[in-house]
This record gives sequence, structure tokens and C-alpha cells, in this order.
Amino acid sequence: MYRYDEFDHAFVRDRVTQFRDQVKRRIAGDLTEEQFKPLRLMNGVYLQLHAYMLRVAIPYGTLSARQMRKLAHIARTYDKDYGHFTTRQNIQFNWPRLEDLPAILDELADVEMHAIQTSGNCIRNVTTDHFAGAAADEAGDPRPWAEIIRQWSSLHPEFSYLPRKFKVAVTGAARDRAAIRFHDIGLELRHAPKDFGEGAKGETGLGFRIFVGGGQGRTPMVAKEIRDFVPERDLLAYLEAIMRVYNRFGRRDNKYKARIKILVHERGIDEIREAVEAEFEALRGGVLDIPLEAREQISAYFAAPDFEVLPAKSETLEAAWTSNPVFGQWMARNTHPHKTPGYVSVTISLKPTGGVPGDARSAQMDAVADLADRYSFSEIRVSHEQNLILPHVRKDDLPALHKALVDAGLEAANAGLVTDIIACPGLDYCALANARSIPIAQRISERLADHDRQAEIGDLSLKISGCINACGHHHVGHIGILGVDRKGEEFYQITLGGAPGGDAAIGEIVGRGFSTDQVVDAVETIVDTYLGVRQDADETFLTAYRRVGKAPFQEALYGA
Amino acid sequence: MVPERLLAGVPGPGNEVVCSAAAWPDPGVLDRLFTGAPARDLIAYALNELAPGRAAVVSSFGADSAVLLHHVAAIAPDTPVIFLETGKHFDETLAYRDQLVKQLGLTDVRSVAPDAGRIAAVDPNGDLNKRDADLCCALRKEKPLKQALAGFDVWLSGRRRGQAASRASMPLVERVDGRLKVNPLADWDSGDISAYRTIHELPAHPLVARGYPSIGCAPCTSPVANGEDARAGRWRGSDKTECGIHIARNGETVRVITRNAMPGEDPPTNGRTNGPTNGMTMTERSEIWTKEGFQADPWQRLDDEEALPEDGAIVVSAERWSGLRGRNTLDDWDVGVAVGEGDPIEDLIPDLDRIAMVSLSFPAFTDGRAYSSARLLRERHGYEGEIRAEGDVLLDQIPYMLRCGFSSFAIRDEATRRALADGHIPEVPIYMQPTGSSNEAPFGNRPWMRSRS
Repeated sequence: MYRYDEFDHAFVRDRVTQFRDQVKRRIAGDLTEEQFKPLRLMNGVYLQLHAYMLRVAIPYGTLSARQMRKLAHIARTYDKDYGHFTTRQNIQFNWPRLEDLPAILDELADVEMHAIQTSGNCIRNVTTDHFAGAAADEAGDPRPWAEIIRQWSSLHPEFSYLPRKFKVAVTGAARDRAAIRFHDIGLELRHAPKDFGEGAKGETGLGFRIFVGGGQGRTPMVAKEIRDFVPERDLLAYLEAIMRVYNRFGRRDNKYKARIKILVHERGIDEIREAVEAEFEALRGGVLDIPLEAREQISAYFAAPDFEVLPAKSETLEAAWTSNPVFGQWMARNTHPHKTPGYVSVTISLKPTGGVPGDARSAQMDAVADLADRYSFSEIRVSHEQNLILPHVRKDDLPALHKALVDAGLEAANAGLVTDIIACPGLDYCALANARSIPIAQRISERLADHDRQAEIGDLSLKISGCINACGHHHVGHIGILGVDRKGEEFYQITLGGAPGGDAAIGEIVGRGFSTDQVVDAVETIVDTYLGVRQDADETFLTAYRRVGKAPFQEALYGA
Repeated sequence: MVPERLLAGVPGPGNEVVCSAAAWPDPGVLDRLFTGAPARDLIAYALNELAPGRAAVVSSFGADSAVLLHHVAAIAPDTPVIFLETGKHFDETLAYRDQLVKQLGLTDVRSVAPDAGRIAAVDPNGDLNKRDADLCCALRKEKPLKQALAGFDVWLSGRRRGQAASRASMPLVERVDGRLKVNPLADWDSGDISAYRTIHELPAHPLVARGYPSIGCAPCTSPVANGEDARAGRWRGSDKTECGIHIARNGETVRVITRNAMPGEDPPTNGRTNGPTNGMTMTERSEIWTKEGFQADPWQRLDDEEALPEDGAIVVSAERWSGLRGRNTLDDWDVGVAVGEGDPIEDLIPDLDRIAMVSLSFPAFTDGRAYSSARLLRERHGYEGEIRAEGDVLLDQIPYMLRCGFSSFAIRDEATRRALADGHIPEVPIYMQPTGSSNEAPFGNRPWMRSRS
């Protein structure tokens, strides 16, 4: 993992000091709320329906056990004993008091964490694949790049007052688990294309395919490719070129048209590419050049832990699997192939039946920290599906790990299944929401709790947003649910066929909305309709939907 | 006197007062506060906080009316809704009114008819609209509205900037005849309206599908062709564009921020792109802060029409500079150029060695375009003269401005002035990324702080 040096420590401490001063000036009246708002936002402080909310960055989703214990401590000491893991690899505390915020930020700084740029019209926390550095299908590790971008973008003097917020995601794997095409900039670490000139590839032959202008919200768009290959050493120059074009020419007259996706849409990708390339030519090879030795220095922080040499097959695991069906179910859903023989990555689901997606109590956070120490080289990841990951677990340890998870109430065996629901905080917390999300998620999860039935349904993502801002990613859910307000009553519109990854698509509205009472039945009808139309058990919901279209679903939902 | 409750209702944590009691309620402050906020926040604020029981909605039950009414119904369905029953409406409008009232559950819709006696006296044959449309509007709309609004301090209208050129600069909140007039949908475009209507499943006015995007009284409304202004069908054939109940704000236009031209593209033609910002006139002088402290501003700003002085340090607009630059000698003056907010600096590049100061404007402190302009001047074009920040220049942004190459600052904000005078600059003095500025030394192990040299 990345470790702060003296420089990073001083930087984060100075930032806390600066914020403490800003809070003081706000209280003294030297700053109006209007002036204070962007300053507090750039330190992750929101004003929600009931209270301030603090959003803490978990850079590229990586936590040490020690950091997780600190988060548990903050939940216990300053909040109502829980925290909420978000879809952008952050954690939110919903009930801190304004006067406690500088102290909380100080506590975070103790463990090399911060809330810098988790909000505001700046470059936000950089996200990446939660299996980075462990997955078997990687061209390269995206984490060093996420760290390099984090540093470059922190308190950037030119790009702190952009037209609108700006989100960057990086993946290093062939299979996109970071939804890069739904980010303002999506980066895919890849080998140079075959026809790329030898000299232009850079020393490593690695570089980035770059997408720009994706996003969800009220105008969902799939990002467009702006360049198929930028050599590693030029990445920051290319990013700075994109940012400069956006900062200068992005719309500022309407908040809802200010994201870069609108600029790309209105001007066209070719015009944007031309402007970016001209800027890139001028910046390339300058101060943002990243020499190989510097890249190696950062990469060293992310060196693989001391894996044991193990056989690919584990006898302990095989025995437990056959003798304990509950373990078998969990094992089948919640583990992911690892590049090192004898190891897997484990998903700890934060979606128990009837629970709040993404919430964890302080005792659970402590338990996960202990398990990470014991079984995963003290390392934890946070996924954008709002689950926790132990990235490096020996297959031999899985039965013992599972038992410990059962004791902590974290054994839900539903990773990737229909009850692995993503939901935004909704009207229960959020000032922007039109409808509640969490209670809908809870009721769907209760209705479809039966594990055998879920397993029969197979891979199916269900995502719920409480308003058109789409924090619950409903546009890219295989089943998406959008809460709307109709005459003061909550209604839910359903979309089908969305997908976030390499097969990116925006879901289609299936028909008129459903009331709070009807929506759970409607989801069940959709699931049953899928089971009826699929060709065999291997045809997933998404594949079947793309084959048959929405007609059979409409018929089942609304009659002929 | 301003009631305490009103002051306490200003949005913000702890409900802090954001403007002085004497000025409250100030439409300009409300306009700034709610710009960018969801429309429903402004509507809820107007109905629940600003003037509870003393706010009304005026609706024509026309093409776009459903959106505002839907908002209002969700917040306070008993809000009085005034409909001017001129006696000349399309039947479809009256039916649409009844349908919306029922569907949205509005409980206090007041259809206000003109005075029958006056109609009989002035328009006995009912053809006044043909003879004098203005008088007809005054009789059937303006006067009844004035009476209907008696007793209300605030009224809400669903007008939008995009509907017509005459509405392009409309603020969110304005003061009209002693009342606050609130236009919560001012910045919605037709796409927003149709998206909202789809999401909330609101019915459309039946005439919209028949080519009427804007609907008033039947005799004075005609369909609109593709490409025409949405309100082009109103009073067609005359230069009348508004009925008289929506007058301009003291003839004063409100600044419309337009999108920027990219290099090689024609600059935008609507809206102002040059000149003074935030009410500051060209000749007004600010106190100037540099790293050496405060000083009187040595520069004299000249309006485009103002005569050139004999000598001295003058600041002219980029437009005027394009006229001056052809002169062989500028020896009598030091010349500074004020670049309009967000305008590209590229036009100045060939003359940078003759320009002693470039002034870049921050129309709002949240508008970061000038940071890029300053860096380009310094790092790309090697400009060594003074770069001045003017406009909404506040304390917490000054460290960023310094790093981007600004060297002098026109300060208007009192708290900022005080803090700078005390030497209090809230900077994080460690930089995680390089700018191309030569005075930032590499430090620590930031890899990208080493240039390739």
C-alpha cells in the first residue's frame, strides 16, 4: 500500500489547519455561507436533510486494517456507531457536528486519510478496480496511477474551480470493474496497439486508452474514446490538457449542463480531441513528464505482499465445500480468482437480508480489520458495489474466514446476485432526493431473500436512485429503479438493460412508474419473466433482455 | 421593518443572515443564493419562508404551466393560483385548467374576470383586440391582475429565459411594483421542461401538439413554424411581445453568462462579453494588493468612449486595444489590457511585449476560467508583466491565483482586505503538483516535480 512520507503528512496536516481556520472565520461571520460552501465541500462536508455529512476518501478503494479501525472509532465517537460505504469508494458519516469536524479530520490524518476533494467542483477521489493488484486479468496495476493522479490533482491551483465536479476512474484489467465509461475521464491501462510505432510506445510499452465525457445523473452518457494510446510517461500532460480545455470552455451558465459530458456532446468528440491534442502537444515533455524511475518508485509501494508458494488446489477447501453447503454457497458467490495460485479475493457483502446497502456498524468494521490482519496481509478494499473486499486470502483459510464472518453477521452469500443492491441514501438522508431508496432496497432484499432462488436467477444487478441525480447508478443496473415525486407521493420508474462495464449501456424505461406498494411486486414480476424467457440457466438476465427486448416484460407488468 | 423570522429563514446552516436587515429581502441576494439550486428550493422558500400566506402563483394554464403548478402542489396545494379569465381563452385552455386543477389537487384557484362594467363601456362588441391589443390586455389582464394581487407580497411566475428574446435576461427574483416576483423556472430550457413533464407524467396542453408552443387568448395566438421563437405566435404581425403584466426590471438587463468561444470559433453574440463586472464601473478604482502589501492603484481604467489622457498608465478593453495596437509608438503610456470575463487571451499574444499589465476577471469566485488564462500567459507565452485579478477576488482563492501567475489583486471584499492587511493568507504551502512557474523548487519525492533537464 501507499505510505505517506514526511511531505504527505505535512500536506494533510496543513490542510486540516487551513480548514480549522475557515470554520473559525465562518463562525465569526467573515465568510458568508455562500463563500464557505465551496470551501467546506472541498473538505467533504455537506449539509444534508438533518445534519452535516462528512465524506471521507478511500483513495482507489484501498484501506489498511489500521485505517479501518480508525473509521470504526470515528463512527463510535462522533457518529451514531455506523458509517456508509458509497459507490465511489468513499465512506460517509451522517451525523457529525460542525465543531467536531476539524478533530475528525485530525484523527483521519493520524492514519494517512483525508476528506480532500470528496466534493466540490474539483477533481474528485480517483476510483479503480477493487480487485486491482490481485485479479488474474490485469495488463498492469492501476493503483500506482490512481495514486499519481491523486497527488497531481490534490489542491490543483488551476482546476479547483471547474464548471462542475470531475470524476476519474482507472482500470488495469480487460474486464472493466470500475465503470470507466461512466466517468468524466475513464482510463484503461493497456499494452500499446500493434501498429503503434516502437519509439512512441514508451519504455514499458504500456499506456492508456482514454475515454472522456461519460456520466450518469439527469443526462446519462457513455464516454467516448478520445485517444487509443497515451504512453505512461505522458499521462499527466494529457490529463492536464483535457482539464484545461474543460476549464476554459465548459459551460458555466447552467449547473445541469456544466459537466464535461455536455461539452463533448455539444461540440462533438472530434472538436474536443483537436483542442486537447493541441494543448497536449504544448505540454508534453514538460514538468508533468513522469520518468520511468519515478513511476517505479511509486509502483514499489504497491508491490505484491509475500505470497506463499501454494498448490492451486486446497484440500481443506475441498473438504469444507462438500461437507458444508452454506459455506459452499458463500464460496461460490463471494470469491474471485487471484493471480497467485492458492489465493482468492473475497467479497464481504454489506447487503444482509433487509439491511441498508453499504452500511457497516463500528463493531463490524473492527471485525473486518481483525480478519484482514489475520487472513489478507492487513489489506481491505471497498468496491463501488458498496461491499468490502479482502484481496489476498489463502484458499486454505476460507472455511475459518467464513466462520468468523458468520459470527460478525457479515456472511451474506449474495455477491453479484439480485439482493446485492446498490442504493443511494435517498430521502431518508439526502436533501436532493424525491423518494426513499433504502426502504425499497430492504423490502426487495426481504422478498427475494431465498438463496436457492437467487442462485437460480444468477447474475443480476439491481440499482436504486432516489432522484434523477442517479447516485444509485440506476441507469446502469440490469434492473434500475428511479424514485420520482408524483403529487407528493413517491413513485418508482423501472429501467431495464443497463450495464456499467465494457458492455456499457443505459437502461431503457419499461413503462409508467409504480407506487411504493407496487414496486416490489413489479421487480418480482420482472425476475419471473426473465426466468420464463431465458433459453437456459447460462443465459444471464442481461443477455436474455438484449435478445428479447422489453416487450415480454411490459406485457407481464402492464398486461397486453 | 424586516421580521426576524424572515431573516432567520435565509437558507444556510444555523440560518445565518447573509445580508443586512435594511436591505432585506433583496432580490439580488436571493437571485444569487438560488442560482443553480433546484427550482423547488426557491419555490418552497418563497411559499413557506419568505411570505407564508402572502404568496400567490399567476398561471395562464398554458403550454408550460404544468411544471410550476406541479411544484407548487407538492409544496402547498392550497397556494392561491390566479388565472386571468379574459373571456377570450381557447376552450382547450379552460378544459386543461380544470384537468390540471383536479389532477394536481390545487385547492385555491381563482379565475379572475375583468370588470363587466368596463368591458361593456370600452369593448361592447368584443373586438378591442383588433383595434388596440395593448388596451385589450390592459383591460382584461393587467388591471384584474393588479386587483387580484392586492394583499400578496410575493408572486410566482413560470416564465423562462429561453422562451423569448424579451425574457433572456430575466432574474430568478425581481422587485416589481413593490412586490417580489419570483421566476423559479427562469433557467430551465425546453428540454428540462419536457423531461420534468415526462418524469412526473404531467398532461400536455392539447394545443401544443397542434403547433402552439405558447398560448394566450385565442384571437391573439397563432401557431408557430419550426425555427421560430416559441412566442412568435403571440400578437403575430405586431411588434408586441408581452402582454404588459411582465415588464422588464427598470429597463435594466441582467447579465447572461454565455458559453465561450473556442479558438477559431466566432465569439458569442448574445450577452455581454466585455466590460465591467458585478456593477463595478470602468473608472472605479480599487485598492490593490500585491505580495508587498496594499497600494493605491496606479492604473487608470478607460471606458471605450473615454478620451486618451496625455500620458500615464491606462487600462483599456481588449477591443480598444485592437485599435491602439497599430500605433507606432505607445511611449506616452503604459498600457494594460482588461480581458473580458472568460474571453480567450490568444488575441493578445503577438503584442505581449508592449502590454505592461493584463487584467483577468473573476465574474464569480467560483468561476475558474482565469486560472487557465494566467497560466497560459506565464508558462506558455512567457509573459513577465503584471497579471491582475479583478472581480470576485476572495481570500481563500488568492494562494491558487498566486501559483497560477497572478501578481496583483483588486480587492473589494472587506473581510479579505482585513485578513490580507493582517498578513493572514490561508495557504497549504506544500504543493503536490508543479506548475511551470520557475519559482517553485522541487521538494520531496514528488516524481513529477523533476523536469527532464
